[in-house]
Amino acid sequence: MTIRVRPGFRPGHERPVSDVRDRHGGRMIANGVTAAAGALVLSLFWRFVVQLDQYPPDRAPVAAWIAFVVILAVGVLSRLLTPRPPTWLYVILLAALAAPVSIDLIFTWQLLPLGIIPTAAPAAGLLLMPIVVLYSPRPPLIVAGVIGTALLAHSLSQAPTAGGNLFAGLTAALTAFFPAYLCAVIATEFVAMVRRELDLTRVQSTTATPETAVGMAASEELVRLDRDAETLLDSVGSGATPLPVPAAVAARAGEIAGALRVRLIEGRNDTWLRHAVSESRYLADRVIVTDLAGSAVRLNAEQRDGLLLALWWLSGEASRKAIEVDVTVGVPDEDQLQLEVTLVITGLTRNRLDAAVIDALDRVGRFRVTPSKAATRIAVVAAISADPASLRYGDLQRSTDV
Amino acid sequence: MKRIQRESHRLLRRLARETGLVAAVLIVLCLLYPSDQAGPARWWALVVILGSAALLWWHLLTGSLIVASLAVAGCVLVIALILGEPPVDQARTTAVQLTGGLFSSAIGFALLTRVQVKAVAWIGVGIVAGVLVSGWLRGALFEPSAVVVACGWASVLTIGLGVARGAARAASRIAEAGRAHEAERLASEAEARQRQEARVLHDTVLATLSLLAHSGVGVNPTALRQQASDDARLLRQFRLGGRMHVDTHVGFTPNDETNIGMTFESVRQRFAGMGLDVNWHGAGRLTLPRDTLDALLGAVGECLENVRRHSGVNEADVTVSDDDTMVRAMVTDAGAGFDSTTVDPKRLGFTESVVGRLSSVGGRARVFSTPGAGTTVMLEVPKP
Repeated sequence: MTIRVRPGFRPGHERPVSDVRDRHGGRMIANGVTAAAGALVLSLFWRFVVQLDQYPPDRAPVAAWIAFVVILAVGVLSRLLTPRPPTWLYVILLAALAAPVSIDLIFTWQLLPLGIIPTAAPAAGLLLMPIVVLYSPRPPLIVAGVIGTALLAHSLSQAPTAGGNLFAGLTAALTAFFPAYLCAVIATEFVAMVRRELDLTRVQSTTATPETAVGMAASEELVRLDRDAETLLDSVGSGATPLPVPAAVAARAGEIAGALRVRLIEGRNDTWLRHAVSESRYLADRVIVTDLAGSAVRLNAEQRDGLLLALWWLSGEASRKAIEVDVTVGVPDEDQLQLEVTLVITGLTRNRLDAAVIDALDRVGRFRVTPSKAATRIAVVAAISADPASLRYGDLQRSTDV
Repeated sequence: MKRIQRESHRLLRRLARETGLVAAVLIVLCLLYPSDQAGPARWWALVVILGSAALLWWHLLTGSLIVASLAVAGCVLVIALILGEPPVDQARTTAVQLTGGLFSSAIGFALLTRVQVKAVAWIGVGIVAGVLVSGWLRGALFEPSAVVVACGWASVLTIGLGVARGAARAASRIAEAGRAHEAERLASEAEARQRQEARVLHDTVLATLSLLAHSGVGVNPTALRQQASDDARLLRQFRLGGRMHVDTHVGFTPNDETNIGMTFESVRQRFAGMGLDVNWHGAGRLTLPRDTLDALLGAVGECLENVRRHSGVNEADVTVSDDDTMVRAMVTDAGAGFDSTTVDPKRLGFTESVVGRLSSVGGRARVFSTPGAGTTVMLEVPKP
């Protein structure tokens, strides 16, 4: 029997994930990105100052820089005054960026042949870097894309006369978009990274559970079933339900009894491994556990952690193809004191295993990798210690033979 | 190395790869731009920048510091080659700025995964100095491109620092969350386990529900109602968070040592309600630690449940005896019996319900049965 474990979540655990941006180091990244944006804006401003004596009369885009500074000031003030500025303000600020961009582009129009490039417009793109990290990446990135495209069109339309200055224009367009893009990469990857890590930490605590355990999802269901049973029994006990009970009630009683039996009796063979996989959103979709005898219990804490980490690294392999890991825990060999755990991995993007996977598997036991086109197979042989419970079971078997 | 650090390095390498690629493409375009002023140096610069790009790629795959140093040296060489051959036109000025400010900073991203931020900062300082010296050699007192290069490096360093610190902070916050969660899990698991064990040990909810699933036919209605309301009361106690041991139904006292006779009596009454008469023989005032008693009573209950379901008789005997070290309970019926050599004890639910329970307190169980001659189960638990 193979059980496809499905994710089960307690809402309470979602809490730390939701403020990944602020609490889990996101602020550090925002600070770094803001400083980086500052440095780049300074270099553009310096370029503007250097260009000042090259602008033809009345063509210096001073107004564009003034507009830029006003937007910057409003943005910084709003951030200082409230921890989370309202969305409408943020929308207005994004829209207001049109002012420095358009003023700059109009003022520097046809000046590229003189080596004069837009400066306030790419600076407006850089202003989006912290916004990408602090809020959601997509809208500011789109705005940065629009500014970059406008600058690109601005440069290319002057290409026939600009000569080698074209590249300075292209670089300005790149400056408007590329840093914001990198920040979007950082923000999305970082959030994903923290989520994954949090998820792992959460399920890692399963390796510390003794022997078989009910698991957190199961204990909640147990509570619910108990409640149902209580209602039903109460109505029988109080005489509200006639005896013999109607068919519908009888069916309901059978249903609850069945579910309770699964939870109370059969669920007793669920081990840490099954709970770890079912409680992790990353593992639940990708890992299938087959452990009929519940032998995963026999691994020690170090081995459990290693196995869980190996699964985690494997399912974290950057993949467009879906990765699936089939874990089969064998029956312990009580004479050799060995337990074989087999991992069959399909959808691996490359044949070489990540060093992290190898490190993790080393902690479980000796392993052999058999790569093939369809699936990579890893057989791990873990050393286990003798099981006192099995000796007693042996006693029982001997006496039944009497 | 911490896992999250490893992942943040993966992120930095991605930044290095994408920045390096964009920069290299633009630099190559700048250098390919036709110019009547430029001499052969730009072709050398082209070769060197392509070589540097290859080295950066190699470094990203292997992490080799020597390869990265060569790539950095390549950047400096490109800048020196271009600036060393005046006059430098606009396209080549842009190439210098891109090499110093964007391409070499891509190497900076990559190096942040291998060396300290301070060391990377010195490389940036070195490149800025390289730009200044190259400019100075060709006669410019101050090479303006140095500002662009310096700003590019400053932004790489602050972003890199932000990512590194952010990862470290995240790691510690996550560890905190993990500890909190572990505590929560242990508490919740303990509660669930306690609940589960209490359920399997004491209550008869499953049995009563099974009776009701068959409409309660063949059971004394009064007894069934009594049973149902007792069970409901027990469940209510669980739900309201009452300690599971304080259980009037089975008659446990919260003391560590409990009067065995009283509790056996409650088991007897329970089965009487379900149509099985239990004759109880033996010691009346044994005392046992509660967990041992729970295990023994639970096992006796399971055996009686088996008798009720499978034996086909409505009478069973429980004989309790003790010596200096052990307490024994023998559950005997004169029912159908079974062939213990052919019937797997697992099928009787023995391993789970009886053996597992007893072994948890150091006890054991033995089954003796022959078809047609009834069954005897010997349950043993050690005395404290």
